[in-house]
Amino acid sequence: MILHDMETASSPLADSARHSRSADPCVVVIFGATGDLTSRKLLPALYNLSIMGLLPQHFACVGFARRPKGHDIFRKDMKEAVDQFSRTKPIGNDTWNPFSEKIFYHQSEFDQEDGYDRLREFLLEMDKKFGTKGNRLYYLSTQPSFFPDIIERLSRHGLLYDQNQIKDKWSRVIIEKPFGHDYNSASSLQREITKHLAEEQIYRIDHYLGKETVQNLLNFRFSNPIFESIWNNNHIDHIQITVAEDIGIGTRGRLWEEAGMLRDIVQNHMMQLLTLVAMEPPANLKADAIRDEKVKVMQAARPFPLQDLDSSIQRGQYGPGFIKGQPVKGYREEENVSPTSSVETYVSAELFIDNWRWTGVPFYLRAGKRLPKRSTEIAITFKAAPSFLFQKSQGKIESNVLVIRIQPDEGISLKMNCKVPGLNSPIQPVKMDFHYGSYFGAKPPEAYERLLCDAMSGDNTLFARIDEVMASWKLFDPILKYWQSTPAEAFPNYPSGTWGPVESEILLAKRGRRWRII
Amino acid sequence: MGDTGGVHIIDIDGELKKLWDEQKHEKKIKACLFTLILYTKEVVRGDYLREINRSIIQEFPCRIISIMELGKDKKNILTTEVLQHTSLEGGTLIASDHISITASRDYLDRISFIVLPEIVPDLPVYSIWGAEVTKHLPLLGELEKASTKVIFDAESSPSLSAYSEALYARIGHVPCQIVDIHWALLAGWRECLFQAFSREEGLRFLESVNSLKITFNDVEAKTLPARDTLSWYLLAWLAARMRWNLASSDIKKREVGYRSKAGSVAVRIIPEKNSKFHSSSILSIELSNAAGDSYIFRRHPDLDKVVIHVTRKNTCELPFIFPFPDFARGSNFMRELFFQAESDHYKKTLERLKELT
Repeated sequence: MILHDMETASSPLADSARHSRSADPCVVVIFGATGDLTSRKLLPALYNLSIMGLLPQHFACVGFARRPKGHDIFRKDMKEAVDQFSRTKPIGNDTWNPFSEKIFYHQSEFDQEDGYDRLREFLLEMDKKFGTKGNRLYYLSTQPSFFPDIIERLSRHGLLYDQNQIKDKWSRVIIEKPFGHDYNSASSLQREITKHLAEEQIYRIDHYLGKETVQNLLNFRFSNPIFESIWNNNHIDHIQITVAEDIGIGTRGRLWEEAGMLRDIVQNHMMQLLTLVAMEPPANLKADAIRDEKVKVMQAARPFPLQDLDSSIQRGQYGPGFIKGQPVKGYREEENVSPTSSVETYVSAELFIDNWRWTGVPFYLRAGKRLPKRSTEIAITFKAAPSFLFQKSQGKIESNVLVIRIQPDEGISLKMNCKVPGLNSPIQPVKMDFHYGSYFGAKPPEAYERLLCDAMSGDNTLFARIDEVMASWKLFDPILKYWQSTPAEAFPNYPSGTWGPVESEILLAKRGRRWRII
Repeated sequence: MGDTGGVHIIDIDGELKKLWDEQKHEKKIKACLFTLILYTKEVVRGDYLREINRSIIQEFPCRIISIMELGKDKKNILTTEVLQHTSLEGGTLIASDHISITASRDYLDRISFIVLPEIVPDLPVYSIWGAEVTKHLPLLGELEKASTKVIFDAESSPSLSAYSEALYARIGHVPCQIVDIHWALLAGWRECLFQAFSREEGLRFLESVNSLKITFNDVEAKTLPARDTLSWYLLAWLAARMRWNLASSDIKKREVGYRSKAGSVAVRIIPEKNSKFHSSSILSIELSNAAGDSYIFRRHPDLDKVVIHVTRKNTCELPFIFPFPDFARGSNFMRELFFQAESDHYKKTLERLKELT
């Protein structure tokens, strides 16, 4: 993402003006390798890194899971997965074969002691065979409940290093979100894992941070002074952040019943987007400088008023309806979901950041499943121009809106007002629209490609730091407690295929605003 | 539009992208000023509204979503198609998307779920409602929520009075602005009369009017079942502006009596046939008073003009010509529909229309 200074010149041919820090030799061990994430995201990402030449030359990947299978079967399964989910196709043998020779499978239960002993031995063999120098990147693609146990066993079996003592090799652990279930569990999880790992070794993944468009947020803000100068409460009326999905919970009923939208999306992805939009310019582009500014945003977030939560944050649950004309069932009819479930599939909230830049500017957040379309975007609505200059007959002067589309159809648009050609013609809004796909041709790298590459390079800029995570839990913990103790009697309260419950519209309407139609 | 049975909903965005990628032109852009949603029901009126659709796309590149509800005898049909309208401007190919939805009545409840995701964000949304307004209609409610303006068509409703009443009830009570096709069509005459009577002399005459004759073109047209609608609109507008109060009406004979400040006004709406003008257009307006003064406005054979004869008891002025832009088609019509703000004149006109039974 960012050009780093080369601290030590590892090669006389290295040109710091051209080369960003490259990934270190390492073995990537994926726990839960037969799961969905590995097939859909991790292996395709590693494959694409290999064809882009961004995988370290000295590299191996070991899948760790409990199902019995051999290396060849695992490689075959992974080839099918990459074939289906890779952003680059077709998968040729000339690119796949050299890559697949570095993929291995290790069968063990997560709590099986000798499984870790065997893993240690196997990894030492990888070091000899592939020159991976003892560097280890563990990806925990498992249920969060396994994290402390796996990390403890890794440590006990010498698979994690005390980096204060050992300097010639490294070990890092990537943990999938959610980090904890609430504030207390996050705190407890942190205590457990920091018995064996330093903060610098923990890479809490939020794949939104790996998206090209999310990274472009900082570039956009801080390389275009025209926008940064109006990025404040003098010029901005409100900001809407939307994470909309048209799919339901699918086969994740059991998981979703434990999580809900607030935990799954709002507490992590949405807060990442919000902090990047709201943060102050960092002192430099080093990881901690950026993360320091993001934490300050979270610290300035005004807590939700406990005495009147419904006025600031609402929840919803989808009922039966239609998605693009096809009938779909409601949440309570989904597999492994209680028919009286009060778990939310939609959240909308009004949030204020109490600092000099943002005082008085509401941030409207909405995230939901089974909404009319899939779309993640940040819409900055600027204050309207005074309309006394223009006659009533010229129509309403619309506010300028800057929209950063995170996915799909990545890009940026700006809505402005223009005069319709002709005598006495009114003013009509028009859009200036930039599409990544049209301008830059090839699809940008997938989020996991960047994140895995950064983790192998030791760059944790795009990974969540513990204070960010805890600040976010602190903000939402009271909501979770309240909702847990208060069954939602009106559920389901929005049909699938609509933009959420009526209460969500009222949230904005009471201040004379509306949700954007996306 | 296809009416083959069954539900065939394509991947609209995917198909539009394919069409776009297939446009092999060095310089091409997708232009869109607004989203236009067109809902039609009856075959007859539907043709007219689809003709408006076609003329809109020639003037303003936009995304069109056209919805056609099939007749009562059709069941179990819901299909979608896409195409792209293209034109060349200065060497650049300009493309606009067109999404078509065809549905039988039993699938109407699904249409808003197909339409909503296809609205272009941040730009105005105009919906043309080519069906009656007198019943509770969930789809109309959804369109009103999503639209900047909903454009209604009096001829798509069976009763002008009921139509006016329904629209009057909507103004100020729905989230969108209300526009009326006939109100837009009347713009030329409203402008003409305003200009003709803008001075004190003209206003004094208008206040003294006791007879009004409106002649309309009764040439048959397939897309126009009721050809006197525009004339009723003109009458209602005049009555509202001049604060005439209804005294009597015989809609079948097209005769109406009003009480005015000066006394009474006898109104006749008279059919005539003239092949030079569009069916239903107003051909002439004659106003006269008890003193024998009269203003006669007559459409000139050159279609974009109105000739005005002013006769007074003791004098007869030379006729003067007033430019009369054609608001029935083209950019003038579009501007009236899309860019004019809601007018109090219109609301008062509706009030008068609904009292005409």
